[in-house]
Formats: sequence, C-alpha cells, structure tokens
Amino acid sequence: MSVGFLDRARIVAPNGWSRWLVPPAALSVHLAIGQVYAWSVFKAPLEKYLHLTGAQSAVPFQLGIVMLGLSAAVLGTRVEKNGPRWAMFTSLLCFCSGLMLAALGAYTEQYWLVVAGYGGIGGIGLGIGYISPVSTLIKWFPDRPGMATGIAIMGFGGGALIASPWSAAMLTAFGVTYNAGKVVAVADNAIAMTFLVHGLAYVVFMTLGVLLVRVPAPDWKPTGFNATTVKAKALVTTAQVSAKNAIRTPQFWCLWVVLCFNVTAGIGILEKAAPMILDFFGKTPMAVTATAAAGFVALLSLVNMLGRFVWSSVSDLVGRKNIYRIYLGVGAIMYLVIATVGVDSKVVFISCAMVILSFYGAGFATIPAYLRDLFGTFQVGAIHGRLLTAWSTAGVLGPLIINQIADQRKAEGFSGPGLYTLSFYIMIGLLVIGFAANELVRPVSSKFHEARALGELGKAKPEIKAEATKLVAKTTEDEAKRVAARTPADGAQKLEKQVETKSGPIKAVASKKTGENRQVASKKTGENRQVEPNRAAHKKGQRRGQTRPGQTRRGQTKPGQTKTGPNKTVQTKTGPNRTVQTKTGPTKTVESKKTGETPQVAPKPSEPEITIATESETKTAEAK
Amino acid sequence: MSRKPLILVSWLWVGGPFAYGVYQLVLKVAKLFE
Repeated sequence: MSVGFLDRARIVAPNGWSRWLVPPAALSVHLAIGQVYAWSVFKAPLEKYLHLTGAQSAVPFQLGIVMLGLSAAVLGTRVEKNGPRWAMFTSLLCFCSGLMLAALGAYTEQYWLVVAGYGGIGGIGLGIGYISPVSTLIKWFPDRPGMATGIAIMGFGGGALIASPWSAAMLTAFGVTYNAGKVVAVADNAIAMTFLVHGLAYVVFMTLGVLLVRVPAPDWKPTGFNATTVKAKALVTTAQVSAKNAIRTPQFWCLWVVLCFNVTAGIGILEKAAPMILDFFGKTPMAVTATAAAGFVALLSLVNMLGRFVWSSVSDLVGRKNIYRIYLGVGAIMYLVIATVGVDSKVVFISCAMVILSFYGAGFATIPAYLRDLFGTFQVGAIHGRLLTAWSTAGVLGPLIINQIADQRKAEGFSGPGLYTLSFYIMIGLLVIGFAANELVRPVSSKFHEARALGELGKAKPEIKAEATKLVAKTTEDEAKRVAARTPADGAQKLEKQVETKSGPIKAVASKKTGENRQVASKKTGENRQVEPNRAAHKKGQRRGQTRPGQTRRGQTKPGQTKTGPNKTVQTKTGPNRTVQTKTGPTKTVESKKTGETPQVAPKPSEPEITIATESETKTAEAK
Repeated sequence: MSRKPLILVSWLWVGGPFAYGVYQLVLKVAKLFE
C-alpha cells in the first residue's frame, strides 16, 4: 500500500529525531491561525469601504470562532486518525484559502464572500489547526505535558500580537488612511490586497509546520523518562479512553464547566478592559487617559499570553487539579478585591486584572494536559476538540453578562465602578462553581478504558489490528467453551453472562463458581473494552484469586513483559512489529488464517491476559 | 547527522515574528505609564 505524503505512517520520527523540532512546527500553525484575534484591525476599514455597521463587520470573526469550536468538535476524531501533517495541511488550505476568498470578496465588494471565506472556510482551518499541534506535542512531551501545551496555546495568543501591528501597517501601505485612530479613506483594493498578502504569507509560514511535524514512534520515550513516576501521580492515568467514551464520563463535564467558567471570568475583564479602567478612575484624582487605557489592554494581552506558558508549565510540578484550584480560587479572590477595594488603588486594580487574565490564558493552555492526565493520549486531540464547545459557550456568556448588566445599570443611573460590581459578583459565583466542579474530578472509571491489548493496537496498522482482534475473539471463544465444559452438567446455566462473539459489544464471561472473568472482543465489530469483573462477585466482595480490570495478579505478566517458567506466555506474531501475547487455559493451537503462523497457547491460568508487546521489548525479554 | 542547524532555523522561523509581536506590544504597554 502506498503511503501518501500526508499519511501518519510517513511522519513517524526516525531514531535521533529531536523533539525540540516539534514545538516550532506547532507554533508555525498556532502563530498563523491566532491572527483571528487581530480581526478588529480590519473592522474599521471594512465598515468605511463597504458601508457596514459595527455588528456586521464583526460577523466574520464571530463565525470564525463558532466554526473553530464546531470543526474541532466534529472533526477531532478524524484529525487524530489522519495525523498531524494531514491536519496541519488541511488547516493551511482552509485558513489561507479563506483569506484569499475574503480578498476576492473585498475586491468584488461582495461582503458575503468575506464572511464565508474568512469566517466559514477559514474557521474550519482554525479548529483543525488548533487541536492537532496540541495533541502532537503532548505525545512528544509525556514528561512535561503542561509546558508542551503551554507553548502551543501561547502561540495562538501570540498570533494576534504579530498580526495586529503587521496587518495595520499593511493596510496603511496599501492605501487606508487614518486620522487620530479613525479611518478617513480607503483606497480601491487596499483591503483585498492586504487579505491576499496575508493568505500568501501564511501559506509560506505554515508550510514549515507541515514539513517539520513528526509523531513519535510507538515505543519512543524521552531520555530518562520513567512512566511509573507519572503513573504514581494522582489522577494521571496510563490507560486510554476514546473520545466517544470520554464524553460519557462525569470528568469530561466537570472539566467542561471548569473551562467554561474560567474563560467566562476572563472575558468579563477582557471584553471591557478599556472602558472599565476609564469608568473606575475617570472621576478620581487618578484619572486614566484613553492612551493609557489602550496600554492597559495591551498589558492584559501580554499577561494573557505569558500566563499560558508559565502557569501551564507550573502545572507539571504542582499537578493539574491544584493549578485549577489556584486559577479558580485565587481568581475569585482577585475579583472580590477589585469589587471591594479596586476603586481605591489603581495599582491594586491593575494587578488583580493582570492575575485574572494570566489565569484566563492559563486555563486554555492547561486543559489539554488535564485531559491527557485523565484520558490518556489515545484520542486527546479529539477530546480536546469536544471540550472547546465550552469556549464557544463562554464566548457568548462572558460578554453577555458584562454588557447586559453594564447597560442595565447605566439605565438605572449608576456610573463608574457601580456599572460592573454586580457582574464581578456573578463572576465570583461562576468561579466558585468551577472550583467545585474541579473538586469533583476523580480518576476515570476503568469501565471507560480501552481494553489494554486492543487499545495499544490502536497505534498499529489496521490489518494488524483486524488480525489480532480475530485472534483474540477466537481464543476467548475457545476459552468460553472450555469453561462451560469444565463446569458441572448445569454449568451452562451457571454462566452469568454468555459470550457474544457474532455481533455487538463485548460481554463479560464470568463463572459464579470459579469467579473467572476475562476480556472478550466482538468478531464482527471489532469493538473492545475492558470488562468489569463479575458483578455478583463484586457484591459479595472481591473473591480471593479474582482480579479487577487493570490489576495484575501475582505471578501474572504485565503488559510488555514476557514471562518464562511454568506459566509460559505465548507470543503470536501478527505483523512486522507487534506481538500479541496470550495467556489462557489448556493448551490449544490457534491458527491465524491470514498469516498462517501457528501460535501456541500455554497451559492455563484461570484467566487470559492479552497484552501487546513491541518486538524490541519481546527481544529484550527473550535475551534475558 | 546533526539536526542543530535545523532546530535553530525552525526556532528562528517562529521566534522572529513572535519577538516582533511582543516588541510592538511592549511599546503599547509603555503608554499605560506615560
């Protein structure tokens, strides 16, 4: 089978590939698509040139953010499946062609083309480009996932910092004339040319990421990295959860609330930063000028960006749950300080706002690492994509609260800080709810974990996966027959659940008498999951000699280990790089139809454990 | 094969524009204290 340029298999890093080449690849995408936050630079020229209202000129940005959330949520699984090069290339195509379509719209004075191009098609590029570099970096930095996600998401914030002055300078160069910050004239094609140059420049800039991005080999680990150290931390799992299962867990929705309310609280300040500082200090001896207010907004942008990297890196040291306690708890205190004594001191007001905004950015940056801790790396990008709907919600909720209340209070005759005090208390309430949601986060139940063996195979080629699935199904079917034959005449009735091998999901095979339990895979669908042990046994307490999912019995091999001695582990070659180890009951021979190889199945322990070991691990064990 | 030149070029590729953006921002921030 030919391997395309964009294929995941083509970008598996060779030996010696430095992981420090991956952050620039990720940044080249995030710094580009972060341009969306500099959209305001185009607003005034478009309003002048195409005679638009302020609300109309905001539509491309709003649609772009909505499309970001939707495309990340809907296409997340495809992005994970196809790999980061495909994702980055698709992002490049969508984002840059969106800019060029916007150029065509501005040239022909068809505003709907600007909206459809920049907001619609470009927005899809935003969503795909946002999640893929993040999940790739998480896989390259298992030892520092917070720092890795902080780098990428800081890049998204940094994109606006680059584009804002650059776009303004280009508009001026192509013929947009400003007077005292207001647009007074727009030359023909000035906006179109600016969009076009942006589109072409970002093609070049993002190409580095497409060419440079690599995925680590399945058995790659950073030098000195010890997975057991990571596993020892609370909440951090080495199990894997699919995106489909993740949204069924309470943990996902707790994090959804955490992200949504943390972002809402940040937007509460960010949305009206300039008018807010003017209203707070306009009628005091500490009066603030409009220029200084613009500087305040810039300062908040700076801490927003730095917070993404700094706090997210700190989360690697203190843990994700603790860092969100700080974001949400200290954030609420900062709001309280502003609401109560903020008007008395400009320094206090500015300092508290800076802390809140640094937590706002950090909340974005740390959440992918939190997801990785809870759900593993298997489909973390897709899970992240689904979680970004919280961002979209907060994007509506935050401005709505702060603007509606400010307008209402103004109508009631309030002025100065009185316009915002109620909003601040609402934000405190939201942060407290977010804090409580964070407290509810516990490790994900093993019933949502991908089965160890076949979950590992998720990284393998489809034909290997299919072959191994068949093999597992056949092996366990034989095992079920053996159990039934071993029980007394009414043994079949004593089986609490039957194996379903023709279709449908996996079911547990559990004998009341023996307390045996095992994993069974569906032949037809290939679905698999870790099976809960015999529920009856659970009610009576864990029986002696019985194991829970994920536990390993004494004398039993762990994944990746090869056992020798009385209970021999059988290795079944299923492909060039992987070996399925099967440990089952009486000696049987299971022949792989496709490969024709004949694995031997070793004498019994009571329950089979199916693990996948890489060839290198197997060789090492054999050598020992 | 040493990949240090590639690492250097790739970081400059993204670091250059980023530094420009931060510089422009710092200029704006300075207005707060004028």
